[in-house]
Amino acid sequence: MAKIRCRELGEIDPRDAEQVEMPEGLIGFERHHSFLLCEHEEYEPFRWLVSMADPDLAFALADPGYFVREAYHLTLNEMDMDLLDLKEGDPLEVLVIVSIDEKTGWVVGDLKGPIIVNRRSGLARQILVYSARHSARQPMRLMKEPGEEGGRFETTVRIVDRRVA
Amino acid sequence: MLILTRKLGENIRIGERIRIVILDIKGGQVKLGIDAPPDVAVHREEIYERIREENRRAANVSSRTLREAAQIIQKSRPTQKPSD
Repeated sequence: MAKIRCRELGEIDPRDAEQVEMPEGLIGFERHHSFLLCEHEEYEPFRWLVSMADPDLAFALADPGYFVREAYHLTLNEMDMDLLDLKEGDPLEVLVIVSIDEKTGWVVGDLKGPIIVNRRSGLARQILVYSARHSARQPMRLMKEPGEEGGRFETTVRIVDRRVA
Repeated sequence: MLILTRKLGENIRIGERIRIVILDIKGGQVKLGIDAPPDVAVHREEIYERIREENRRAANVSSRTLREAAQIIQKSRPTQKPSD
């Protein structure tokens, strides 16, 4: 597979990255279905989701643990499960899209629109979180050890076997 | 806009692949069931719009600023990762 050139990251060899398929695309970017999930040492702990159709379209992602102030419980419905081809025991990863708030300059994470990746099938979907507890622009904080005051909170994914939205 | 009146339990069919069922009507709320193929995303509109706006903002994130932020994080905790 040929290398692709991304404005933000330079040249990427698809063999160095994980390929992720998003059958619906991201909300507002429905025409982009194939992405590379790239890790770059200098951006750690951020990762990049780069569209293969247009490599200049790149999203920064991070573990929601950097943003949440309380347990982050997500629920997948039957439609999510179909789209992710989710089977029992599949390794799931939750990532949030990261941006810079232009008013404050803070690094913020979108806890209302996390991306769920099924690492077995390589399928991913952006789901919506309706809970008012979580913000679409939650400022990042520096992590401490788990269990310490202000420490990290768990992300859990619950699955319901009926269609709810 | 096409406006239809439906009773409880009646359906609306949009094309061959989308069906909307009126499941319950209570107070000012209507509960809908939606059958749609997986390539048709179904969402509540207000949050959908919000996330679309956030995604558009995030698509223009500055890699330089993020690299600076990453360096601050790396310096503050050189060995620890959140996933460890």
